[in-house]
Amino acid sequence: MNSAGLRERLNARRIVTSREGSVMFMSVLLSIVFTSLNVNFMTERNFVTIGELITGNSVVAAGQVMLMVMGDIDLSVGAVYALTPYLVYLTYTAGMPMQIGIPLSILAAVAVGSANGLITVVLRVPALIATLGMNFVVTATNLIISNDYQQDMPYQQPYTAIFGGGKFLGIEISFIWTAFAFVILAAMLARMRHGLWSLSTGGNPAGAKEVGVNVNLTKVRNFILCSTLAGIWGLFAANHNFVFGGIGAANPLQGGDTLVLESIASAAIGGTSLFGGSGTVIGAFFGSLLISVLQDGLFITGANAYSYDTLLGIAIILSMVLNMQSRRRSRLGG
Amino acid sequence: MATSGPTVAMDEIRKSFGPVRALDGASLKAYSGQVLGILGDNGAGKSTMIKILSGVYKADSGKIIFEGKDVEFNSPMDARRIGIETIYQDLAIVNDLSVYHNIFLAREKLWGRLPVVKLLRNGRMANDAVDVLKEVNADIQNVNVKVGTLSGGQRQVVAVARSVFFSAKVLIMDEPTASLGVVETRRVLNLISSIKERGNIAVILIAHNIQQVMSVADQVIILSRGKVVAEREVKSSSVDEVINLITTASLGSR
Amino acid sequence: MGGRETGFLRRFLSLREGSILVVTAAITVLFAIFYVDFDSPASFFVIATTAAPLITIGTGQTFLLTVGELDLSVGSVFALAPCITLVLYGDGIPLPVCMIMAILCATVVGFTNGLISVKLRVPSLLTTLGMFFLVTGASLEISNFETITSPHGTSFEIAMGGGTVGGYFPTTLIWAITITAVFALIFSYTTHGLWTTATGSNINASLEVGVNTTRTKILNFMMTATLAGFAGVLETMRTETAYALQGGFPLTLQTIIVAVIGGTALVGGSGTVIGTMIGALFLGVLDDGFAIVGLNYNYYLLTLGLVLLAAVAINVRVQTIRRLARISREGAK
Repeated sequence: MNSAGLRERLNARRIVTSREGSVMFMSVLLSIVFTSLNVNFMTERNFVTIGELITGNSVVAAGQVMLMVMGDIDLSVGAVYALTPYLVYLTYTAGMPMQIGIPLSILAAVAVGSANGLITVVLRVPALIATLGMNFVVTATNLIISNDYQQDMPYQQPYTAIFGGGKFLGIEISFIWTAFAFVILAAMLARMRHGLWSLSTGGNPAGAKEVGVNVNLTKVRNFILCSTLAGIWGLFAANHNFVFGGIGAANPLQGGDTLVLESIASAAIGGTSLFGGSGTVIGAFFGSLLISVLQDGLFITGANAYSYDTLLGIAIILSMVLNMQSRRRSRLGG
Repeated sequence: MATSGPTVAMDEIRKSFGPVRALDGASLKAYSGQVLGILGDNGAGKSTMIKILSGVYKADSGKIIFEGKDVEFNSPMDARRIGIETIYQDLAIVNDLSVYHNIFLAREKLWGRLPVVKLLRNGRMANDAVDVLKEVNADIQNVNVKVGTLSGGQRQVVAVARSVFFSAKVLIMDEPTASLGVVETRRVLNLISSIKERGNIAVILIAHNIQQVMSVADQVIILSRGKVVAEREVKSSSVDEVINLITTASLGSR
Repeated sequence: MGGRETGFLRRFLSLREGSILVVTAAITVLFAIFYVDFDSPASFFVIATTAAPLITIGTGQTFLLTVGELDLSVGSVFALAPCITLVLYGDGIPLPVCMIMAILCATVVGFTNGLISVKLRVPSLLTTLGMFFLVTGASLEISNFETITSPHGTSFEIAMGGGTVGGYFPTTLIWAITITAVFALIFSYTTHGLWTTATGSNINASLEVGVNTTRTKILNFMMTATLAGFAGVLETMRTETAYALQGGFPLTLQTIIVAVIGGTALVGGSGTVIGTMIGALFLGVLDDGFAIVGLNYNYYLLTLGLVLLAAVAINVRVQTIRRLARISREGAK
C-alpha cells in the first residue's frame, strides 16, 4: 500500500475530516439565508422539526455508508422501515406483548439484511439487484400483511416511549438514540476491527482478502447492520406521533423509495463515494443535516415545491464532484 | 543473422523518478529475426527500459534509434505507429470479445469509408485472423470463441498474433510466461521461436526464468542498478554463467 | 481448443437470451391456458403499452450497463421531454419542432451525465441520482406541477405514439421494435457496439489498444437519455397527458430490471438488446397476467422481486461456470 493510500485510509478513520466541515458550513450558511427570509426558521419548534427529519434519515444513511464504502448499496431500507412497525402491530393484536413483538420485528429486519448479504456474497448477485429484488419482496409483504391499510400503532409503556414515543429530559428519545448511534458507529468505524475491515475491503478487496480480511463476512455484517438500523428507526418513526399526544401509525408505505433515495443522497453529500475505501458515518450525519435544513427551510420560506428536488440534485452532484477532485489531489500528492 | 544494423537501439538512456535513478546509461540493440533477452534482478531497471522503448515514459537523456533514424515518442501510440508493439502481462486482451475482435480491436475492418456509420466486416476479420494464427503456428481452431475461455498460453498467442498482423517490427514481451503452467509455457516459447523464424521481427524478451530466456534468445543483456553490466551471445554462453553474472552484479561492490 | 458448445439445447440455453425467452414463453403459455381472456386484443394492448417504453429506454440502459455504467435519471427525463414539448406547444410552436427541442434537451442531460461520470470520475450511480432530482425539479418547474393535455388526432400525432395500427397494435410498440432492431445492429455490427463491450469488459486493455473509451461512454449516456426523452414523448402522445412525475424512480428501476433479466450483466462487458426487449415483454406479460387473473398487485410485486433475484443469480452462475471451465483447461501449474 503506497503512502497516499495509507494516508487516505487513516484519514477515513478519523472521526471528522475537512469534508464534513464544508458540508456543515453549507448547512449553517443555508440556515442563515433561510432565517433572513423567514425569522421563524430560528425557533426551537423548527429545530425540533429539523431534528425529526434528521432522525428519520441520518442513521439509515450511516448504514448506507457502511455498505457504500465496500462498493455495495441497499435499496430495501425503505421497505424494512415500514416492515418493523407493522409487525409490532400484528403481533400485538395477536396477543403478544411488545417485549416479544419488538424483538421479533427487529429479528425480521435482521433476516432481510441477512438475505441481502447472502444473496450478494453467496449467489454473487450484485448488491444493487439483490437489494432491489428484496425491496420488492419486502414491500409486497408489507402490503399483503396489511391489506394496504394503515393502522394505529399499539401503545404499551414503557416500550412505546423507549422506541420513539416519549421524551427524555425534555428531548425526544429518538434524537438521543440517533446521537447515541452515531457515537457508536463512529467509534466502530475508527476503532473496531469490523470498521477497519470494511474500509480496507472497499479500497482493495483482493489485497484485503490476501492479508486475511474476511471480506464476505464483513459484507454480510454490514447488510445486516444497515437493515437493522432501518428497522429500528422505522419503529421510532412509527411511534413518533405519540410524543406530542397523538397516536402512532403503522403505515405499510412508510419510508419507501423516498427513504432509499434520500439516505443515499445524504451519504453521497457527506462524502462517501462508491469507490469504497473512504467515507465516514459522521459524513452521513452532515449530509442528512444539509438536506433536512434544505427541505425544512424551503418549506418554511414558502418556496415552491420543485426547488427542493432541483437543489438536492445540484447538492449531490456538486458534492460528488468536489469529493472526487479532493480524492485525486490527495492521491497525486502522495 | 543480422545483415544490416539493428532494427532498434537504445543508447545511453538515463531516467530518474524523483531521487530514484532507474536507468543510468543503459543501452541495447535488437535485430530482426533475433531475440534479445533482458535479464537482471528485481529493480534493475528492465521494466523501465522497455517502457521507455514503448513510449510510456520519456527518457531524461539518451537516444532511441529505429531503423537507423533517431526517434522520439510522446505516447505509446507513437511507438506503435512506427511498429514497436508491446505485450504486457495484462495482455491488453478483452475477455468478452472473440479472438478475431481482439486482434482487430481499435483497428477494425469496415464496410466502406462512411464517416459515422462504421459497420464491421466481421467475416473478413475472422478470415484474416485465421490466416495470421496459422502463420504463428497457433492451434486455435475457432476464432469466434470469446478469448476469456482460452488458456493463458493461447491468450498470449492472440496478443502476439495481433502484433504480427499489424506488421510489428519490434515485439516487446514483458514476462509472457509469468503465470503459466508447463504446457502453456512451452506453447509461448514455441510461439517466440515461430516469430523468430519469420525473420522480420526483432523480439525483446523480459523474463525471470533464465533457462526459458536462454532457450529462445540469441543475445542477452544483464541489467543491474540501471546499467548494463554484461552482454552475451547465448550460443557462446551458458545458463550458469548468466546466473553467476546476475548474482555477482546484485551482490557486487557498491 | 476453443470452447464451442455442442448440442442445440445447451447452446440455446447458454445464449444470454435463452433463459429469459424460455421464461417468457412459459409464462405466456401458462396464462393463456388458464385464463381465457389472456390472448385477446385488449390484453395484448395492455402488454404492448406496458412494454413499449421499457423496450425503448431499456435499449439505452443495455448499452450503458454493458459499458459499465448506469443511468438512474431516465425516469425523470421520461417526464421532462414531454413537459417541455407541451409547454412549448402551448406557446404556439409547431409540434414537431417542440418534440425535437425537447429531445435535444434530453440529449444534453445525457451529455452532462456522461461528462460528470467520465471526465469528473463521479460514479454514474451517484451522478445520475443527482441528475434525477435535478431533472424532476426542472419538470415540476416547467409544468408548474400541472397535468398538461396533449393534442391528438392528426396523423403525425398518431404516428408519434398517439394511436394504434389496425386498432390494437400501439404505435409506441412499433417504435420500440424498430429501435430494438436498429440498436441491436449497432450493438453487434458497428465499432461503437464493439467498443462498448470492450470498454465494459476491460477498460484498461481497451485504452491500451487505442479505443476511445471516453467517447464511447459519453455517447452511450447521450443515447440513453435521448431514448428516455423520446419514449416519454411517445407515451405522452399515447396517453394524451404529460405530468412532471410520470415514470419517475419506479420506471427507472424497471428499465434496469428488464435489461438485467434479459441477460445483460450489471458489471459490464456482456449485453443483449434483444434480451432486453424480451425482458420487457416478460414484464408486460407478468403485469397484465396478474391483472387479468385478478390477483392482487402486491403478489405481482412479490413475484417480480423473486424472478429478478432468480434470473440474475442464474445469469451470474452461467458466467461463472464459463469462467471456471477456462481455468480448469489451464492444466497443471
